[in-house]
Amino acid sequence: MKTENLFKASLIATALASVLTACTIDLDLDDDEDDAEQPSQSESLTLKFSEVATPITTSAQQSILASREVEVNGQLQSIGYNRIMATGHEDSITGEIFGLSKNHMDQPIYFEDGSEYVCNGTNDGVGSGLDYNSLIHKNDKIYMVSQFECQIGSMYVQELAQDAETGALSPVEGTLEFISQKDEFGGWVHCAGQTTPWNSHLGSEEYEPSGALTVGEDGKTGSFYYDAIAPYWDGDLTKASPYYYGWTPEVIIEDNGDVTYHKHYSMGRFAHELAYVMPDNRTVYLSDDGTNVGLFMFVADQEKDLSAGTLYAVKWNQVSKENNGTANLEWVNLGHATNAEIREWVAKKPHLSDIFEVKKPVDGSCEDGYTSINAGSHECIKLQDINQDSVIDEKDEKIASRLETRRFAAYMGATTEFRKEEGITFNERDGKMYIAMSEVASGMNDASSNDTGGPNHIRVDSNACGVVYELNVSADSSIGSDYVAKDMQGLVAGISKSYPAGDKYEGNSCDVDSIASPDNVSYLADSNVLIIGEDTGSHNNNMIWSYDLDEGTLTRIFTTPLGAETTSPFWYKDINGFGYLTAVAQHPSGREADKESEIGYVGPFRFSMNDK
Amino acid sequence: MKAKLISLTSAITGIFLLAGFGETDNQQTELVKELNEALSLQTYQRANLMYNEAAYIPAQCYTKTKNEKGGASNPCYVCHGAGKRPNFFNGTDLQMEYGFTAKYGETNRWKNLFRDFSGQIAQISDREMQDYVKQSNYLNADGSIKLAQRLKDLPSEWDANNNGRWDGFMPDVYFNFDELGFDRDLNNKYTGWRVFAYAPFPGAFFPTNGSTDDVLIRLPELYQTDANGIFDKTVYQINLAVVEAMIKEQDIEIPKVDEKKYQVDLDKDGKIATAAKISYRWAPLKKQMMSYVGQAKTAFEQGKINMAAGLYPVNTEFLHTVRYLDRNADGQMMMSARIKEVRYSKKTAWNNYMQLQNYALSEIKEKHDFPERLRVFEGNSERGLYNGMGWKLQGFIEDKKGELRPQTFEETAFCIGCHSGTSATTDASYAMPRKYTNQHFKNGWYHWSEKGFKGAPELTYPDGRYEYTTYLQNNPWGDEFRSNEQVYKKFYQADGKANTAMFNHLKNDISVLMEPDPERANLLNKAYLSIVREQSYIWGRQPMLAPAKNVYKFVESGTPTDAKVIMR
Repeated sequence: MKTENLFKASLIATALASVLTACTIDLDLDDDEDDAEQPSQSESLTLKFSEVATPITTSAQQSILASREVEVNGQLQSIGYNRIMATGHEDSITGEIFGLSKNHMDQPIYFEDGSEYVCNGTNDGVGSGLDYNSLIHKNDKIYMVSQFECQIGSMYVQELAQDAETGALSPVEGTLEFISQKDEFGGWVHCAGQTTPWNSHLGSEEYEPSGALTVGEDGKTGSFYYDAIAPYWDGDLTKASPYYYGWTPEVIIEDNGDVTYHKHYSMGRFAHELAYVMPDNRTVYLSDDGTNVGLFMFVADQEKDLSAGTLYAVKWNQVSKENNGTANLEWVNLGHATNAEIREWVAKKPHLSDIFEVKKPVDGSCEDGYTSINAGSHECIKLQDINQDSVIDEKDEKIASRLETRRFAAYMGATTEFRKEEGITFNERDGKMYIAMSEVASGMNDASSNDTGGPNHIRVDSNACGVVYELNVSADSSIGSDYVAKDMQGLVAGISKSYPAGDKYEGNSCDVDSIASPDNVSYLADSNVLIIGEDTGSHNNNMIWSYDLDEGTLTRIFTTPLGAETTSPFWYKDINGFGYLTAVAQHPSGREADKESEIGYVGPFRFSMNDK
Repeated sequence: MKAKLISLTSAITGIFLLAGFGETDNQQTELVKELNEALSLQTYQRANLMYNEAAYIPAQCYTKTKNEKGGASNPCYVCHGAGKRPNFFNGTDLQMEYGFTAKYGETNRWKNLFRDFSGQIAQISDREMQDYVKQSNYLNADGSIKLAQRLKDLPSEWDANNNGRWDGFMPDVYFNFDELGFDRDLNNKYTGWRVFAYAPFPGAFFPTNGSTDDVLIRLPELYQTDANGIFDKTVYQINLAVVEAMIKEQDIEIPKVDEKKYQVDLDKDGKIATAAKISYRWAPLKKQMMSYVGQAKTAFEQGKINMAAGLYPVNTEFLHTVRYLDRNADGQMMMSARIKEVRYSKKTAWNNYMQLQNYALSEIKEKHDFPERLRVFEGNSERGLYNGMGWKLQGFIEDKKGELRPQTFEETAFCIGCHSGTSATTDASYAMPRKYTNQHFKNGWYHWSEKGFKGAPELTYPDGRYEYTTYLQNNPWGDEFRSNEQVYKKFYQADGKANTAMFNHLKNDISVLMEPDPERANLLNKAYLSIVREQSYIWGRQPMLAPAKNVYKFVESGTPTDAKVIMR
């Protein structure tokens, strides 16, 4: 198989590089570098988790409950939740503080009370914090790249030690380092991420600030959220621009151990929840988190290089409203661009009005020359001569396609009616991709108020409990990718349910035996297991599910304490023979205070039966 | 395990006549049925279901700002404006439009606002009402605390965590104050509580709108003791003044003290000599720090405790009692002996500026991401409910017989809306930042029973505007529901013109605004007692003398208020 050969090639290259840098390496390829992609791992896996009950008692509702056992190909293994490290951890040697945001000169940011800008919620566990961590097995080391969801979002790299006997992971003192984002205007609201097939950390910047913000002479816009970026610019907001944020960052651990940071302007600007690279190392799916949003695909020119490529937005051609919607997908070409081309325009700090003239509709319609869209609200838009060369042409389209990606997608006839797209994962075994939709509502309904002025492509019934969709993926020569999603239909859906007062499940508004507001999803390669995490207000406790793709059944494997909002499950199948399901617990239980977010994992698992 | 439901329903068994909407017998039956159902959801444990899932959105938020003359009142600005750090909330938009975000919140579930209580009011005689308010449900005749005794002999239904004892706040305030406002127990031992006087928060907390109230503060023992750990009233006084200076961010006068004793330059005159004030000079980034005295000084220097402008020390407690309107022999308004509510809060965790900003910013994002999601709270009636910003709140309220009982989970959730998430609070508090201070009687450390509102001046905003005057100019009725005609008639003439003399009087004597006449006071008491007898607090605690006309039963988010934005 073609992809396998590619992986083998990369494996050899990595091994060689390691030799050249004279690191001590184990040349047993079965047991080392890039294990996740090893051919030996194609052994098919069947997992059966022991089920955790829906928490009913107060004490169960206030605890982290995790499956204690899993059956892997019939063999029973003990697992549990283990913590790696928490926000605020200070490395006594490097002096770095895990989660501390720094300014445009990479100096720590302090508040007036002398407190450091450590991205953490209150000690009652409310607020934003650590969101995603990549475990990168490279250079004979395990690196953990972490990103924080604060408005001034930081990233850190940390080496982890692995206990050879137990597989337990722990931070190595003296290795915590801040990852500077200053060359690309700093970081913003880092959300979910992926460890790419080439072992880099691909992040995200969510909740992009509006380009329509009116920037005053002092740089302030009146948007409290955006203006809070000021400390990054030493209090001088005139140095900032809304267009600096809402992109896809990548962190690469180089072969010599250096950490490099890149911002992929080529992949467009919107509320990036997640960028997910397919096994061809070129095709990337990008989810957009919000109301009336699009779904995007990027095809890079070169493998493992996301700095240039063609961006597409999906058009939903509905077949039926069955299965929470069934559709054929058409990909609308938004054009080609490189990071350098777009960065030039980002740096010019434009205003939305430089890109599109936006007018309010009159009596519900747009005058001639304007395109009617609804990418959040009904607008009449007209592309501008952005580069001021007196013609409005593809050069202007290129700039608009990346700086105002969602509006441009709608302008080009793509669908901007999705509601809260979240996690993405791919199942190579069956050629299927999965996308979580936190809820099916608003623009996804037929002729809802969110469809005013738009094409009303999606016409399905609401599902307040959310749906995980399945997309069949295959080659498409016109696009030049082997991983193009061709259709989309519901796979697992939450079920609205009202439990009467006095019922042991009272207070849940989605069936406790199914998902609610699915968030992150992660498929374990070559297995029957799709992990689905929740971020919900519709279950009293958030849950993580294992969905058996062969049996079509759900098993509850993890529940978070009351009020704990998210976890970010992500599979690592084989790091020196151990498997991990990482999770961020944003609100650990059982403590009156010091409820910092922490990264931990469920495991270790043993998926390789032929070693250790 | 099933949450323990409480027997509030029994409280209304036998009530055949509820005050209602001028209803027929059938409607009465319906209303009784509905209230029974609502009360059946009440629990002292963490409630999975509430009658009003948005109980944290107060009734005031449904006020109809637009008036009949085409103008609009603005009672909103007192809570919703630009917060002063470390309150990073900015709610100025809520002055301009209704913004519940979640559709659920668009429905006003405070039904009592719209009911006609006149029938029930008529059944309560003046004598009965007077006797009722004069009888304490908190203290026994010997000065011991009745409520504490009930909690020691804990009814099992109050025991939310089923461990056989009360783990919540055990009431230990005796309302037995010395000349400095320090509370003492029956053995004349200091309880640590200190009472203070403050300018009531504009609107609902004006006694003319229904209730009197008082507030006490207690710092942890560490702040009450000298360097050797011995209770020292002067040390405690100084530390309270330091806290006050940090909360108000201004110099605070104190009785003259010997700085040498504490080795702190309290007045920051560069000398360790004597001081008659705490000078507020705080800028940690410039290494300008304040200091406590006594044991707290050492703890602070060792980094064991924190200090920051606008924040209280961890484990600070507040006690707030809400009471009926009573009158002394001279006809002067005073607080009743009977307590409507004992409200208690305690700071359980330190959150620095970063964390508090994080909270405010993530709230904005959360509303964007999940507009339909309602707030959920941790805790229970016994332990208290957590506001998400480091405080827990707990309360006691009258049962149908007038004895104090713990508030249910839902009744406590009612407290959280105002004590978090608005721009008006200083570290979740209202009263301390509004405490009377320098140049005022006893620097503000006294109980209302010692001195009432007579002669108490109006506060002013930093730009010199008078606070209550500004409020009345923007909301001439003095209550959020535009129902207090007495206030309106006092301050405005029939033609709508301001009564300048009364406004001038107000500047130096807020009693003219605060105090209702005896007749109104009596009716307000009776209206509230009607709610007590029904136990229908979850439909609203605001005594209304007539069904509210200027309140929405339903209002869509985004509806403009037509109000002019007022900055505080």
